[in-house]
Amino acid sequence: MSALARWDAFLAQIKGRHEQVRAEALAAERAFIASIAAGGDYLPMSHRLGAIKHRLQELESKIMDTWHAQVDDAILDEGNPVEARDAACHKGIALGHELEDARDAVEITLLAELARARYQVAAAALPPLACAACGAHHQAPHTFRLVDLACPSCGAAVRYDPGDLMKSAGAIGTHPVSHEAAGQEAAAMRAADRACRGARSPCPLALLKASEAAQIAYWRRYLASRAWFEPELARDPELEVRKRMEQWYQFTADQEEAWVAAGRPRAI
Amino acid sequence: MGFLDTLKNLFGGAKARAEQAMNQVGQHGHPGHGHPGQHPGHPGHGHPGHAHAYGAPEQHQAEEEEDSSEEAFDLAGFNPEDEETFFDAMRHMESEGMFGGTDESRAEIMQRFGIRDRMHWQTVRDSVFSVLARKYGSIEEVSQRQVNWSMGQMQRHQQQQTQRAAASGELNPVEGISLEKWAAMNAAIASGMNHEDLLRSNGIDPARWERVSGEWNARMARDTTFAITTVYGNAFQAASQGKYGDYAREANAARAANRELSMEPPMTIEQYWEILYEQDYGSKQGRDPIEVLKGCGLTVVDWTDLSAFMGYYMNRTVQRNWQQFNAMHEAVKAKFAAKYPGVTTDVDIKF
Repeated sequence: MSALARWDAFLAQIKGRHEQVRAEALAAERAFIASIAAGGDYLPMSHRLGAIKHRLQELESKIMDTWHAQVDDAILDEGNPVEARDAACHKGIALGHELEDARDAVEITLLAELARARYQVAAAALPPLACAACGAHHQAPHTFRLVDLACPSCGAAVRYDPGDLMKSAGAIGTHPVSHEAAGQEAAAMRAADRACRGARSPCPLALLKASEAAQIAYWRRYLASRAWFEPELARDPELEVRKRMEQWYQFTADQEEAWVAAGRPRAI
Repeated sequence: MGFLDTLKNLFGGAKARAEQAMNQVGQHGHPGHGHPGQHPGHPGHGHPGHAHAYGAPEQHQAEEEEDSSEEAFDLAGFNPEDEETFFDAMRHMESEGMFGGTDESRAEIMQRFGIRDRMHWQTVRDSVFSVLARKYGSIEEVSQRQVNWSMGQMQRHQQQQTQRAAASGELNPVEGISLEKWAAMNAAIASGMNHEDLLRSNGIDPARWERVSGEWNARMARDTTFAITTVYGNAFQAASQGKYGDYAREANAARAANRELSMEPPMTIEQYWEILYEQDYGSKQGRDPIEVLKGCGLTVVDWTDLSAFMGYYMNRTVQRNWQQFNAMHEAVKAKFAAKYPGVTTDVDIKF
């Protein structure tokens, strides 16, 4: 079998194993989630997911490790043109990116599912807002935390505790649910970042602007979702986005000649 | 998998520090000479015309006789007695990004020191390094000095970020609870103190604690300069009652002043790596990290404190001692591969 064909077969094996490991993890952990939806320690799942992540990462790194150790030379030694070698290399890189995205999705998906499951159970059993001063009962407020509120009837201070399960739903779900809601934007952001990295420094301004736009779109969507858990994020959404972009502006964009030459054209 | 790659795969708070230290070996080791410490054809290739100024002429002569290639020697406008200026120029000439140079800064340096082009720079760089190596006894020692200088630069930058964060109000107390107090209370919780007792003794009701924690966590999340995290980490360790608390405090003080540690390490690097490997294999097996640490006789607080000290210790010594570190690391790696056979999976997939 030619080196190019063996490379394709190798990639197919990596992809197949990666899919298999992910599918097994999802199936096993969904069963576990069902058993702890109403409460219980979810950390064993986190530990298992850590092990799964290790394994998936090792499969991913095997692609380019093998390329450098064996495949590159094998393809050229068989007299293939450089273009064929480069195309084969890009195939490996593209698969690596695809698998990396799929790996990230496993943990996000499972934690979001656990948070939703807990939220449903907790929401069904939420205690009402009960005022000790006037005795009125009101509909439970939307919160994942202990809060001090004013009684809608008499205005007295009322402390409301949504319960451990609701708090747990918030603690588990804040990031994964928000990230999942911005899934398309996250994929676009990763693609734009990879395009910048692929260009290497100095990066053209157009790619930097595209990456900036993709990140801003992601943060807007992500934070809009996260504000459901943390209402204070809705106070000044643009400020929140700007703060999260600052690192990229400082550590990446401001180090690029094209960006500096264009007058550091921040969009936010 | 190589030495650096393996360390990159180790997890936990210390992983990053170990990785940083090891990466610095690669990045700050004498450039253009491959693996750290392996400096083929480097030291001692002096030009006779300059050797009298900065090196021992006899040594230069002897080495030139051994090496017929007679590489050029040229210090250009650099004075090896002023190594900080040289390290700073090197940072600009050889690095990109936040702590690196730009085309403008490189052009300015080339003009200031009379560097003609990249090839000339490499000759000058190697020449200055060789003079410094004679002065300090080895290339490794010079590399270590360069890393120490770079760490000082980064530390200064971080201190400026903290000042900016303070000026912006992000370090202002939340409902009367300062970042330092919040960190100290978290340290007490992490050490096992009863949560409710702690709040009661500090006169804080649970709702206020949740609001305060929520706000500090939110500030940390949006602080991309890590200024808040740094202040928090220092305050957390300042309050640590763990058995390595003094070590962590000493490391933080040494880091802030960019100085050497005044305490001997509480364990060998080899023992420290064994803990890292226990965690790495534990993670691969899906084990509870706290249980893994417990198996090593450590709590989370102990580990945080220990890794703060050992991480800094490695940063300050890795260039100088990389050969011993490498040998130790290989021994630990082999020991753990034997201890946990079968943890590596998917070996059936081959090209």
